[in-house]
Amino acid sequence: MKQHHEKLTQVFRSVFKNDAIEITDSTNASDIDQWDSITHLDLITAVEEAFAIEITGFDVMGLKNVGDLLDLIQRKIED
Amino acid sequence: MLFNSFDFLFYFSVVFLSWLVTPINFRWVVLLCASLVFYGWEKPTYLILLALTISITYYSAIKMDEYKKVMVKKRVFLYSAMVVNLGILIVFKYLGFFTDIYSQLANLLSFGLKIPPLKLLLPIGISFYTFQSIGYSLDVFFGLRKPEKHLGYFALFVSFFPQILSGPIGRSSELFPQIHTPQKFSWDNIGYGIQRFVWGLFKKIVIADRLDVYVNDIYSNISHYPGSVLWLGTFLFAFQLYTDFSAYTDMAIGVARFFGFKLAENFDFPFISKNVTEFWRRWHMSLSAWLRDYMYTPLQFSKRKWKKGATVYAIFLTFFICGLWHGAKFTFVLFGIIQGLALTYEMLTREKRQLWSKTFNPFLYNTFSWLLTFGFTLLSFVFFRAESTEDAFLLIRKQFTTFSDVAAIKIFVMHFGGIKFAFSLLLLLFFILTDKLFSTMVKLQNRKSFVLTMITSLLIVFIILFGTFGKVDFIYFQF
Repeated sequence: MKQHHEKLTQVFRSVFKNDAIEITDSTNASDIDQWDSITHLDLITAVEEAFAIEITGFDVMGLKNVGDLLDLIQRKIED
Repeated sequence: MLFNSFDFLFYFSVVFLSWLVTPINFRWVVLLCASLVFYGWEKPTYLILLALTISITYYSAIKMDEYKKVMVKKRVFLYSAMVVNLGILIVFKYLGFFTDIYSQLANLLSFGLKIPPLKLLLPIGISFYTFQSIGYSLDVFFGLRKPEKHLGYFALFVSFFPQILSGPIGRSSELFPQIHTPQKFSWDNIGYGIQRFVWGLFKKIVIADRLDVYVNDIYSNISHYPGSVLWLGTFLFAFQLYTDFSAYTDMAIGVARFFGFKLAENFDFPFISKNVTEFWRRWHMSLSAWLRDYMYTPLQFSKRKWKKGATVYAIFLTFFICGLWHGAKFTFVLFGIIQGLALTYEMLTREKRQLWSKTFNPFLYNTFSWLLTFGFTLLSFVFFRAESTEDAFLLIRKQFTTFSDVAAIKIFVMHFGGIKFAFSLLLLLFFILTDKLFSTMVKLQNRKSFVLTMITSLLIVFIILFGTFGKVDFIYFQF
């Protein structure tokens, strides 16, 4: 999980072009300036590439924060 | 029943007292009965539609959960709930519009079957509670929440009287935990409820309803007035709409708080927005969040291979529906399309604009951005208010051709009584200057604050001296 967390931090930094971003489980869209409904799609695509998983429309419904996203990544990797 | 009427004051007192003397575990029964009576007040037949929405949504959600492993069946129950809810909405709200279009086309192309014009009465609040119910169905379908097993609780979720007529559109994740928690009496809630209700009442009957007279006159005589007066009308309407709808929301939130319920916020000073994207984050927030979560995101995701095209596609479809949601008229469709165009422009120029904001003097850049956004909002509201698209285009054309006729404003003002108009304008100015401070203050929990008590008392004095009770409907009731 820790490993995923670090990798996800890198993804966030590259998508939002900000090397200072730190994320926790409770981080959500209102904590990161650039994270809105438009960049969300870029983020999901970058996560898919970084973790070599496939995320469907079903999966993204109800993602509320980084913790939810990490759970999703874990679930997809196990699948 | 209008919140700003003595009927409501009386009704609310009876409901609140009954709620108070009822044992905690049965208070939901009082609220449910009160909600049904409130909704059926003007036309009891509308209760049949409400009952249909409640029962189908309730039952299909339980079935969706039962068949959560059998996708085909789960989908069947989702679709049946959607068909019923959207079906009611389409028949009662849009069928007349569609038959009109058909008849016009039939006339134009002179072909066959004529349909007689259809005029069904629009059940009040239908767009709000239908969307709330659809949101719930989707939450259960996507596994975001367990279905509500208690029919009474579920009926209260759909029909809760402070919000059924004009929102805020509630989410299952916010409302069900509150319905399940026994509602206790608290002085803090009463204090908050009164502050919030008084603030709303002030906005509605001291500001919005005063502006109504001028806006009505200007919008009914577009061909008569020059651009200068039309600009005045457009400006006044923007504030009428904001004060009217945010007043309703304040009163709804205030009333709900008496019973311990916290409803979603709907407004966050929309007119200070520096771009249209920001505007939609601050205006009718419960609707825009609903559209974002249940329409925009799934649409964008479904076409994600199109990259930026997916976002443009999702923006346009969402705002087309957003426009149509407001009413079955071409003016509203155009309102949605115009918003979609602006948002697409902002999406495509995101990076450039970030660069500009760093290159130019920040004060000048921000002021210019704000002016542009506010100007755009005013012009888009013309489509919101105008009776027809012809009227809207005529008004905008005149705004850019005969805007310099200042003398006409003087004649308009004199016609309505110079002092009376100046006074209304003064009250509006008072509101604009104090909106941020008062809104922030009344949202505070501290009922023992001296300043807050002073503000609330001041507002009550204004209401008594300058208010008009129960004369003008809320604008959003028509949706």
